[in-house]
Amino acid sequence: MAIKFFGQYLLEKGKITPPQLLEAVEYQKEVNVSVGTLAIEKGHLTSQQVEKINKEQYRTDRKFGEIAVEFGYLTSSQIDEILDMQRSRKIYLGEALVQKKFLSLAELENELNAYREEQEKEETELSTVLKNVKSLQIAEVFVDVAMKMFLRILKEVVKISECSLNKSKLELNEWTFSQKVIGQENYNFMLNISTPTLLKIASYMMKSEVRVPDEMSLDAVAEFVNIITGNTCAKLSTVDIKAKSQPPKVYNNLSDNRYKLFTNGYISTVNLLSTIGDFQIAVEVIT
Amino acid sequence: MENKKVKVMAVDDSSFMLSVITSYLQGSEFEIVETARNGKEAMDKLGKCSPDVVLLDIVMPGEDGIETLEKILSKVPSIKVVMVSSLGTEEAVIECLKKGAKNFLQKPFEQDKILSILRGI
Repeated sequence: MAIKFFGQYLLEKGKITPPQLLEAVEYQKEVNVSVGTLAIEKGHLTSQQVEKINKEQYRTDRKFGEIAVEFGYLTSSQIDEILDMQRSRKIYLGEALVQKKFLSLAELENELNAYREEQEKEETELSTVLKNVKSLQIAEVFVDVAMKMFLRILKEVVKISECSLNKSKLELNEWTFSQKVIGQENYNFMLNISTPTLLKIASYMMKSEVRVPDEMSLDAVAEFVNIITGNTCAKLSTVDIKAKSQPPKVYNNLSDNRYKLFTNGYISTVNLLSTIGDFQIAVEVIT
Repeated sequence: MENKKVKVMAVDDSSFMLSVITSYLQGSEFEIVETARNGKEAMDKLGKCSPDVVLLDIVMPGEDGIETLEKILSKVPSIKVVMVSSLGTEEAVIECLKKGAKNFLQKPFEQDKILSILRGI
């Protein structure tokens, strides 16, 4: 089970077809009015001002309202008013599918319930504490998804033993699997593990006993990290946080004589315990 | 008379994923005729193996899967491409479908899911 947006869930279940999904998404775009359009409608902005803000948005990937306030075009309370208007008029994908008659209302309700049940299954220790995704830091989302994937793929319940935040360096274990994620902020997600733990993860992934860290077993563990990172990006996209991953990298720290990783940004780590070994998940915010 | 198998090319930078996909399709009506580890290799091999279907990852070194998707369909418009990626963001899914992918399968997945998606296209 992957963490996915509702449209993808319906697609994979065969409840809608790809053309229907595309048509519903296009319909949403037509109906859901942008902040800029609403601001023009209310007479707060001119179209030239909106265009200028959109250009800055494209350049910096920041929110419309934030830029409008910075430019002195709108006040914070005007932004709040417009966002309230936008929320009241917004239609979600499910509504779009119903309005386009690709799903009935009853079907939508059934599918939404099933979707929520599937996505929230097997609450992890972290997610029971931090339920509202919007308030989570991206690093916490990654750890939450990682813990879910340990459970779903490796069938392992992992427990948090220790967390540390905002460090400038990371003590490296024998192997580090890392993957960059690029978005509004840039991150480096890392799995820091010993050789025995690596072999255990590879054995689970390959469904056969792995005794040496060869190319295929390293690839299997890299793919495990890739799945976590990709699903993290998918989860973030459901709350409008855009992020895209790059291919994962594998570091043999012993043979490379790497013992510490120093950063110009900051690193948060979560140490996890399980029956197959100890893991450390590290998230570096890259500046 | 033996039924003709559907020829599939799998493109993924992970040799582990290629082996998983190959094992999942074994014994089915789908046959992996070629694999590639990146977009360039996929384009080089495309003409030689003439697949009916391409299973295509997104996050790969060099050219990503979305760029490769456009190139594949530009070269052979009749090929059916299914994206197979952990990057199941709404943006990625919609972009791939708009660019002509027949479906999108998010990792991790089980054998029955990939077979069901392939049978559906």
